[in-house]
Amino acid sequence: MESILSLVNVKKIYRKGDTEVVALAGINIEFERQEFCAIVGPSGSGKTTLLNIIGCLDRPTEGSVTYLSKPLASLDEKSLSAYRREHISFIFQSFNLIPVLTVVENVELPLEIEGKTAKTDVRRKALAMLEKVGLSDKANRYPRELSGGQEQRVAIARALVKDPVVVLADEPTANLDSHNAEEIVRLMKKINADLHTTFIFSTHDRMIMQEAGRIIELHDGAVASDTRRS
Amino acid sequence: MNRTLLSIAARNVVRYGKRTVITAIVLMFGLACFIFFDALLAGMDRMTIDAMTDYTASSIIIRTVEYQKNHRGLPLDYGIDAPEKLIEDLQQTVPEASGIAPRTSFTGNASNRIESIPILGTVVDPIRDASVFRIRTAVKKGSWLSPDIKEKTAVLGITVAQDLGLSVGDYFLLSARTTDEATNADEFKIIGIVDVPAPEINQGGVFISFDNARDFLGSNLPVTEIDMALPRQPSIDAGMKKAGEAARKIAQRHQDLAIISIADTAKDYMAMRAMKSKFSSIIIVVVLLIAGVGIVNTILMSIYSRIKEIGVLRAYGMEARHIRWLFSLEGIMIGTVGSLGGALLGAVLVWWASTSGIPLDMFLGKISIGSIPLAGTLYGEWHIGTFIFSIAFGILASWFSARIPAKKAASLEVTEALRFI
Repeated sequence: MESILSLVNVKKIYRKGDTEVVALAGINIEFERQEFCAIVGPSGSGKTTLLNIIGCLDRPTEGSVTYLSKPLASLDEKSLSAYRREHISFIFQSFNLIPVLTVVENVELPLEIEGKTAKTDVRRKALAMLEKVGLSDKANRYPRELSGGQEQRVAIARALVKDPVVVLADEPTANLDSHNAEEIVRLMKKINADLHTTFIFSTHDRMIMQEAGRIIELHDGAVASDTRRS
Repeated sequence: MNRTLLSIAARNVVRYGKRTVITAIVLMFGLACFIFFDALLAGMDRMTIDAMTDYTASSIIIRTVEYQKNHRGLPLDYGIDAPEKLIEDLQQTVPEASGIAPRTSFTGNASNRIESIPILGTVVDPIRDASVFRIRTAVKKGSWLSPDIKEKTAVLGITVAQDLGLSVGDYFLLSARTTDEATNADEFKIIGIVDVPAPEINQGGVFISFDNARDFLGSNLPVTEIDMALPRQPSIDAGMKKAGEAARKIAQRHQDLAIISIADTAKDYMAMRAMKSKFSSIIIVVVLLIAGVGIVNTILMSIYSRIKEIGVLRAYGMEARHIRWLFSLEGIMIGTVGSLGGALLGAVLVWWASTSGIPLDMFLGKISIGSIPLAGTLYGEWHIGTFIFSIAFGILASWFSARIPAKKAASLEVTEALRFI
């Protein structure tokens, strides 16, 4: 498998006054294309910080992150935005749909931000993605009219519509009941298989861990174990 | 991208409707007040200048240089030579003049035989004077002077008549110094009473005809001034300019005479007008400051309620400048609603003020500031420039105000924004 993301000795230290909080203490990980990788660990172990650094939402204090052999540390704010726009998508724990936009408009948003898709194709692609997540009949509803599970499926459609290389998901099932959580994981897994999208997600959920092809366990900001499953 | 930003901004403006409406209303009322005051100030300009040209000073006054030097004493010594010939010449020099009339002013006393009050007498040609001044149309009781009445008649200002307890048909004793420097007194019948928006006429005005005046003040009574009316112009400045041009034309032909245009007569008022425009500027600055603070506050509240949304947009690759533009757009939209609403409300107020008018007498009594009369009904003046200025300035100020919190939104750390609860 082709390596797409490489983290070498990544450290993240937060300073609060005189106190230093080590969120990541020298992480070395390589991610391959089409991985379905769970990052697990107790609260405060650095899962979200790691995802933020991979997604270029935050910069490491030390170490390097390389995406397709391109170092990200040297990129300025504008280039980082472009990297996120073109290669990365996010799924959030609390869905974070834009409340004033309809379901289909929420899904269209990444394409509109990317600005590379013809206007006529934007709607077509968004509707096709909604079809994939089984919500084409809710295209013109507003997020407030959906259940939590449906909202997260819209968030998945939004994350996938621009055909990203990597989808980063921070506890995507944490706000869902077990039935909806199971459906969301099944959906993510199916998309991973069908579209060859790399999924890197943090979770506490044992059920979602069982579905993962690779489990990276963090402890106090360091990799405690890295297990691949066939 | 712009379409999406516009859509998100518009929908948020609608979504937080209460906030939007309150902020827009502040701007709306502020701008409406500014438009209304501007219309009233313009109306006051028009009213004051009209009162001068219609009742006291006309558009152009022609006097002898000596008379002009001593005109405050209203002497009868420095009359115009051959006034009828001069009037004929003036008609040719300024063919657009709508009326030319001779006048002679004098001071004296009016008495009901019990008490006496000082008056400002004006000798007029009843027919020609009415082509220059509108005093004839302001006769409240009785009628204007007529050359057909041989009896000694006079028209009195309303306050003079009231102070002396006289009415139309009554007789009063008029006394004044004659051209021979003697004092003469004669009985005049009150033929009319005028009520004009010029307090000095109401409080001391007595009008008599040249025929009667020659019997009373002397057969050699001179014409001390010739008054000329010019057609009304759409704006005061245009009127002033026309009067100035005509005065210059007359001055070129009659260098031995003093030519006083309305621009000279209204010098005091024009100085006050400049002060009023400063007052207008203060109003607009205060309005926009209040509205600006309101917009800053509204956009800040909008930002605080949508921090996570900002985080999501940034995570999906939206640049800081787009976030800045998003919230600036919201400010512009609120500003547009407020400004258009202000213009609409302002239009309603100006329409009311221009059709119904505000009776100043009711609020202020009949007062004047120096030689500037402030009496009668004040009508608002439409001033399209003020509307355009208000709308444009309202929107620009809103945009400028929104930029401050918008910058704050754009500078938020993405991870902090996403963590925000």
